[in-house]
Amino acid sequence: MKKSLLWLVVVLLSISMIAVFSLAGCKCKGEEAAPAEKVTEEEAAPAEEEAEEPVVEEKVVIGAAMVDVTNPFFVDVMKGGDQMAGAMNAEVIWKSSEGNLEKQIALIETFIEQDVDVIFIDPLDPVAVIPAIEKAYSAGIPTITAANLVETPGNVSTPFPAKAAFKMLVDMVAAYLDYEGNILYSSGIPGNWILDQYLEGVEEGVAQYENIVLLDEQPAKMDPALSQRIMEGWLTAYDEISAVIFTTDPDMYSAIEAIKNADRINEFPLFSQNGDVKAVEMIQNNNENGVTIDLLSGATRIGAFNIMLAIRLARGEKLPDVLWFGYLPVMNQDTWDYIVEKGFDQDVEWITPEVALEIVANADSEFLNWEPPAE
Amino acid sequence: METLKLKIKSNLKLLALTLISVILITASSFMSPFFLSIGNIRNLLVHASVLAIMAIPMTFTLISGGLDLSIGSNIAFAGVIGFLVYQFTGNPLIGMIGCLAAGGFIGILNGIMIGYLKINAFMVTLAFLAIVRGATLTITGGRTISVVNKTFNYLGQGSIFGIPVILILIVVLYIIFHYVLRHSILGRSIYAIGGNENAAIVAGIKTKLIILYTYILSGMMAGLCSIFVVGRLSSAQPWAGLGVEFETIVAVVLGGISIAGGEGDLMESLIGVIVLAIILNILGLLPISPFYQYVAKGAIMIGAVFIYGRLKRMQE
Repeated sequence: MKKSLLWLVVVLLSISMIAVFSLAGCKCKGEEAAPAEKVTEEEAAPAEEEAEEPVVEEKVVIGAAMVDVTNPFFVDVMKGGDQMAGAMNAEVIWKSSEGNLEKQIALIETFIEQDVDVIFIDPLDPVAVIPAIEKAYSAGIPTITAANLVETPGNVSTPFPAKAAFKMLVDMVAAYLDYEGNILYSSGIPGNWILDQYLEGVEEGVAQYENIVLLDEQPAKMDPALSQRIMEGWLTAYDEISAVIFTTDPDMYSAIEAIKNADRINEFPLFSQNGDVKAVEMIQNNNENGVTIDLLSGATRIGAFNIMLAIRLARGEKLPDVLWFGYLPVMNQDTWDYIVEKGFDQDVEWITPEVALEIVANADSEFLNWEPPAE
Repeated sequence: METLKLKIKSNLKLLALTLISVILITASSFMSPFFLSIGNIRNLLVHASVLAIMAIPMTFTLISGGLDLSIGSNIAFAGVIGFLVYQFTGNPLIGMIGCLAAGGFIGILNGIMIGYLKINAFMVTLAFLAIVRGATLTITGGRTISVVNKTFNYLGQGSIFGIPVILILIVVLYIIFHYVLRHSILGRSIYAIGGNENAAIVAGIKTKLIILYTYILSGMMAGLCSIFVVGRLSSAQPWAGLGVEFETIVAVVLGGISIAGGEGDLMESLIGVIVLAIILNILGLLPISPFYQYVAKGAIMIGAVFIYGRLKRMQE
């Protein structure tokens, strides 16, 4: 009897708590809007009188729907983004889609409900994400999409010229190999738009050269452990490897371990993308472990750049709909001279490892006073 | 009073789950001012739709002593096949039937291997998780397929008097399948098989056929989910349904369904779905690091399961 009464009391108390806390916790947007408008009107007159006082930028809240947060690349994106947010009086709410598009859409919808100032998206699919972006636009929330071209009102895209970059990388590799050899490509996640673009770039690049053969391409899915296993398989299967291209630096590091274990280090050059500090230092140390050229996108730079744009969007600045975020090939002067000598004739802005390290270390200050390109 | 006492004791699990839900809702509304907004509740329910639908067949298969790990891959597969059927016939309704048929086909394969060939359910459905996903990636080349037909996308985007169509469908499905599980011969047979398959055979229950039915149901529900997912994303995604099997199992186990089989109730699964949906929603609303979310998710689940375990012991 006592136990049943106890249960009854617990249930009743719980229902009461939910009623009380619901009233406390639930804030209707309509109720909040009126006081805010009132404050604005009251402050308008004093603001005019005190025009000389410095204006403190209002804190901006950014909702960030990332593809994943377990990969070191995205960890650095968040790091760069947080650095920029700290410098510009903003807060980023980082959330992971865990590689699932439905989850990413759900995150965007949740951010809309939270009425964040701007939404930053690293879309898993640049087309499927459009309806969710349109909802944000209808709710008056601007969006910014990284790495992909997403053309829809209210959205700023910062795409990478991914296919062109990897095609260019293959041109550099081809020149380095004197236009003859067997290449292996450790690709990304099938179905991820930008990583598919990298693959297309490699395939198109290789197709240009009669004596350059793409021996194999395997998706490492941005998983260093998987990348290592793939490399071990290649080392067993192929005696004649001329070069290996990686989608991302962390994949390359684990593959280097496999190459070392097979006692084949420095047998063939390695090429990658990211501009990770460790990879750049290897290039700086006389192409240590065979690391020869790395395309600097720079995860921290990507984070800092996009968060900077997001903050400026949230503060009402008008930005171009598309802002291309380019890659900078990192290599030693010797390498550049060599590939030019062998026939690489593209007009490319490249940088040395020293310059790359400086850029990566100062990701936030690089973009703090950024101005959009003249139209 | 004795009757009330008995009723409470026999429904202790359900009461405990309800209490956990109430505590979670209360705490969540306190932690985030947006939690109880109409928009967020709508989001929460829509985001939990796949989970809610797949909890139905997962409950059936678990009670029968089985398991289906292929549902996530099946959602992607069924969506792609359904789209191809629509493209071939030009008729979106036939395309949607194609989704159900494709999902059901995988269910038949699972059911035959588990029910008739007596291969372990875990191994069969794990194998099909890989095979079906691989088939989907092969068919699509890993690419997304855009679907812009309003009829095809209605389940994922449509609403009636402001209520998303999918939520109305879920209510109907739960009413139907709760009745089937609790009051039909099929339902009682499923419990019997899960309790003791040999005894069920001796009692004259066609166990192989019943097991086949549960997996066909699982497959067709995956097909139904694929229609919703394609509609919501306006595209057939080769990676759709990723991780759904894990979350669905967590939800139904959270609801008190025993993995050993033979016991459980669909309403308990539904509450498990609601609890999990609230957890996922509040983790999305709160500005906590995504790294801590993995820890928080697991910790909350262990807490909920611990409470349920203690209450079950009290009941016994």
